[in-house]
Amino acid sequence: MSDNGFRLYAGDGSTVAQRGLRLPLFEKATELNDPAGYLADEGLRDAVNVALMLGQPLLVTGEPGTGKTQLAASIAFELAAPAPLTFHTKTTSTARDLFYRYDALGHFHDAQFRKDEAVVENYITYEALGLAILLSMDPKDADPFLPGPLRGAGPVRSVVLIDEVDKAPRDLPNDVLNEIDNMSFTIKETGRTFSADQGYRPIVILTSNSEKNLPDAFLRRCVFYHIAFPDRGRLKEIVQRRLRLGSEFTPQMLDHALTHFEKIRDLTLKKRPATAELLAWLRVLDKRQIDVNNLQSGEAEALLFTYSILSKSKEDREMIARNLQ
Amino acid sequence: MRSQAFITDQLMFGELLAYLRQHGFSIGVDHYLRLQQLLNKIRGHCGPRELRTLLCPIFATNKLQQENFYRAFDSYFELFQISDEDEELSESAAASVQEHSLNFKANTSRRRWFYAVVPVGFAAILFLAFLIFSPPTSEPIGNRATSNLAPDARTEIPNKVADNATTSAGARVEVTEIPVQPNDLLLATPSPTPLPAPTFYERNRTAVHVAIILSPLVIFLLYEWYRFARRKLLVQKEHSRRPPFVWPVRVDAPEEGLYDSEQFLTAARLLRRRQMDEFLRLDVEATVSATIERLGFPEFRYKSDSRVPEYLILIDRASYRDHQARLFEELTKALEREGVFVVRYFFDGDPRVCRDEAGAGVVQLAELENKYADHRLLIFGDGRDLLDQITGRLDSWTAIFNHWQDRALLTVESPSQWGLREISLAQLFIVLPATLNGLLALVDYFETTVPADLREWMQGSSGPAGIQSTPEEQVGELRGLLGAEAFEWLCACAVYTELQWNLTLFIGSLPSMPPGLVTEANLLKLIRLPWFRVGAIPDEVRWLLINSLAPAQQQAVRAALIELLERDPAPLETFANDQYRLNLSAQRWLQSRTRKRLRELLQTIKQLPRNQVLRDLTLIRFLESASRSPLDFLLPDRLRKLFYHRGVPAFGMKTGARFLVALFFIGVAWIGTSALAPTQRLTLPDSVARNFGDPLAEELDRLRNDPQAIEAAARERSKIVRPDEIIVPIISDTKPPQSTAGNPIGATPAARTLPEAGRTLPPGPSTPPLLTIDPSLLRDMEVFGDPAPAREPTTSTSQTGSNVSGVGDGKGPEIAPGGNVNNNASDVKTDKPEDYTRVFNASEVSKKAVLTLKPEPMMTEIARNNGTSGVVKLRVVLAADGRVTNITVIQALRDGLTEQAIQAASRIKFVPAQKDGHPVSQFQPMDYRFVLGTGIDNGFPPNPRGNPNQNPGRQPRPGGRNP
Repeated sequence: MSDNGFRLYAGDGSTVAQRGLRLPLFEKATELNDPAGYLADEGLRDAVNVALMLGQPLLVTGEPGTGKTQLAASIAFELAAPAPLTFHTKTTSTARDLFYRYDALGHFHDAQFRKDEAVVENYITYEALGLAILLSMDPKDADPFLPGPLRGAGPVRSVVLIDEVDKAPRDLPNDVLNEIDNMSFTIKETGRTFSADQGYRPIVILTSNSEKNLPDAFLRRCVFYHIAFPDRGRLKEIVQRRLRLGSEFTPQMLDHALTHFEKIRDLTLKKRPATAELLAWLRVLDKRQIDVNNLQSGEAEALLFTYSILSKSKEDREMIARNLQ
Repeated sequence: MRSQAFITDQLMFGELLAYLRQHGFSIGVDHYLRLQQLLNKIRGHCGPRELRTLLCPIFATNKLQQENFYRAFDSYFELFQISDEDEELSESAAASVQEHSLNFKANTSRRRWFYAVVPVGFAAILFLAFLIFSPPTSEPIGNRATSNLAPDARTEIPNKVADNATTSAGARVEVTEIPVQPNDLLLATPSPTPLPAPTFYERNRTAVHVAIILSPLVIFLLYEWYRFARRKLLVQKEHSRRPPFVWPVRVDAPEEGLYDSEQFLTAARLLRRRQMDEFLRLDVEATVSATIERLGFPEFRYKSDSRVPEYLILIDRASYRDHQARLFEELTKALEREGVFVVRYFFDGDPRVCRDEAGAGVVQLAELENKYADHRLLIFGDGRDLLDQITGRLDSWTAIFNHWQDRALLTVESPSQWGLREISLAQLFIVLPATLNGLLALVDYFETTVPADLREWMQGSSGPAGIQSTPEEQVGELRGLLGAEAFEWLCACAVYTELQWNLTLFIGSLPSMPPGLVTEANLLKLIRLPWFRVGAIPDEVRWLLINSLAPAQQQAVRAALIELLERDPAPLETFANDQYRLNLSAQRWLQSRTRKRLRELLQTIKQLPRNQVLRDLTLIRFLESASRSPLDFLLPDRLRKLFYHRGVPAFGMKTGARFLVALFFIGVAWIGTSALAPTQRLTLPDSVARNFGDPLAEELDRLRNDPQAIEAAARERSKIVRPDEIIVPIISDTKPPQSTAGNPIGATPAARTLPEAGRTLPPGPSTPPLLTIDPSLLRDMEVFGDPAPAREPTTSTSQTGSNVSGVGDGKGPEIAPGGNVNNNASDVKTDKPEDYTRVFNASEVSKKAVLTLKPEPMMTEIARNNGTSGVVKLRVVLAADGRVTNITVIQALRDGLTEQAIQAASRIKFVPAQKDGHPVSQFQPMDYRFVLGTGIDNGFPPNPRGNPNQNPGRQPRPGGRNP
């Protein structure tokens, strides 16, 4: 078969068994998210260090797919801190959500039926920043509030990732200024205040797609770095560290693929593919042993097929196909 | 340790921070604190170069600022810069520029030397001519026998003549043994009685006269030649000039003061007022109390989330000097400072295509709709392009605005002028005047569902909006419309050649202007004028406006302008420098009105291309009203165009006019010299002969005045001459002038008379018998002459005569074989094996490389801030393997534009050129034009001095983009 088992789903009503194939187990590309393989550029490295020195949050912007989110894992890995505590910002997030959530409805419900168990504390879930502050405290004080796996881990400096902070409503950053400065928060429902031990100040990483400008007062309290798209040499290094490419995928083939990728990035696409897309694409090329410069019969079609990894819209895909086939 | 020096030396960072602040970084005390904290921590642990990446995260807050910071750091601490590729590139560019200027300098110095030599040479030639033409009278007549030129031994003369003739003129001479001819006889006759020694003038009269008469012509020719040489120099100068093309006068933005009124603060507060969100949240307290009220039966209460309103602001910007757009930009910036969340985009007429603030990115309205649909939309502009041009109804595409819940159009049109257009627009938008009052009302309209009523605003008398035909009427109308103070402001703005937002504010706040002039009301009055949108006032109106300004105020404005101009001179050898110098010297002269300044100005004008000067017609009017030469008074206007370049005396006279003047002076000199001449009997042919320095004529003159010599000559003649025996040396008549030059005596008259076959020298009145030459004799002479050279012209005419169609046809058959030969030669050449690996020129390849993708360079922020624009010229090799290699910078630009252009060029995609079916590499020149605000190569050839009137103030739209 020309697509050498690549097309498991034929879409013609035939089963895999009829075609002499079987559904393989999913191989997760663990190496893709391995923090040990992360390669920060010089500027990013220094920015992280500055943030550490000043004890201020690091705000990272950059094209999607340039490794903003993975930076937190890399920092945690290198600093031997526990895995980063992540907060995914939503459009409805409020400042309180960064620290804890209060399940009012559950509390309300239980208050009706299980009156003795309805202690406010039970309906409070601590979120990333709240957990980080708790972890920095003396375990004696913090452990009662921590969820099971984290109990006894403190006091430790933990890495907090607040992902896509620009998605939050405009006033969220302004509302957390004081909390981030002092690393303390108060639970309105119980009136209890938690303050981080300054020695174990959490390391806060914020990412943004820079869609919205953050307020100036917030920016002034942050250390900023914009991750630029890596140049070719760097890209190659990243690929080599990130992907354990098969031995049949020669460096020359990698070179060809990178050149091809650069060509694609130069097209005026709506969303230009970034490092993440490149890695995914290379994995496919590696699996199928496609050398983009020496296409065997049938491979041209397969290459066209792989473009859907790189393009995020129909127009983009057509654009790539039109310009590079 | 080196970094220690850094830490203690705060000044260096102070400078850097000041620079950053200038470039839009907001740097406060906290930055200093963080900087200090950081430096303390890294004390000595890193080299100064590494500080770049360490300091940047503190100061930069977005991508652009990060780039700017790196650039600023690099330029301030160049010492520690790594020599990376970029640097090498820019170095090579700089080197090429330097080389260029060196060449230029070498050229000019050679030229200067040349100019010095030419007059000296000319003087030398004059002197030589004088020596040659000066008659034998240079010796006292009594000694003439020993003179070289006129030896008394008559037998020697012909030999000498022959020698002279053959050697110097190359003419053929036939000599016989009989040496004497009538003229020689005359010339050589020694006068027996010595005459009193004549004065220098008398001796050299002819030469002096010739010199006097010819000198205007020579001066004219020399001047023309000099001008011609200078003209070439100017072209060269043009080549050596670099961008930027424009150097706008830099005025620091005035302190904020326009928007700090209570009204504005109220408007900002209202705009910040939270708006309802679409989300609902469980209101715990309300739910608890409601449940209690319902005796424990759960009763949920929700409350609507509120959020801070955000504004998407689209501003109509006709040009980069559009005051209207600037006013709104300032207004929205002031709102931003007050904490209103604002996203600004600009559009030119049609809001379907917008530009972001940096001017780099073009955004479709549909994209904005996706991104900012929950924003409140404010459009600043008159909304003209939202309506169908014919029906006056809303265009169908405007339906896209319905995606925004809250939308308003703030129009500049004064409410008293509102009409059908506003009524149409009101169907889609809340239409309000673009004033603080309008903004104050805006939020109420947003929060209520009551449709806005236009009539509330349409108050006041609607003034006549008629179009005034003449500038005078326009100015009169303006005076009434604007009111005395704003009119004064307008007049003061007209003093400078262009309108600029900062400059307008600066002029308005000058002490000589009425106090309290810079208010929103006054500004609005001004910016409603279309001139403030395009950034220039028409010259006719400008002239009138300047003249309506009180002289004292004019002086004050000009003094302030001069100070501004002097403070920030344009870089040397740039295109912008020309305009800058012109502006400065014009302002200086108009301010002081001294002769010295005028001379300076005229000097500047002479050095500039005329097109550039002509742009400022007002200046030319000033010049004309001031400096009038007598010729100006003499010439009617229609003739002035004939005499002066473009009818402007400051440009100097046309060549033809100068020639006329030279002729005039020649005439004057001629008349003058004839008046000086002692004899009044001169006739025209004689004097012509004399003008050419004919020794014979000189002799004639002399003889006429010397009766004794005449007598002696008569005696000699009657004794000796037998006309039939005379054989005169004959000189080829094809080149009479040379023979004249080479032959001082003897042969000359014959040579001169021969072509005129049979004509004689006209007899002077006093000596008819002496000079008569028998016509038959002359005919004989002609027969004696060697026919060969004389026939030459006849043979050629017979040739052309036989071939009626003329010279062109005669050449036809010759060319054809020549062409064949060439073809053959090229055939031979192509037979040789071609080296396809080398790089070819575009003309050499059989199929040129075809660009499939030409990425556009981006304008850098710093270039935009500095107003840098121009053309980056590159030469690239479009290699056979499809890569772009060997990018050479031919012409660089500052502020990172060269690098941008190189980047863009390196991303070019193309189909390689072919030669005989082989893909080959090809040289390709690439011009990237950076126009302020677009940063996009239009693919136009560089046109540095395009007439602004043709396309007033509008930036060319990008051609290559698909909408």
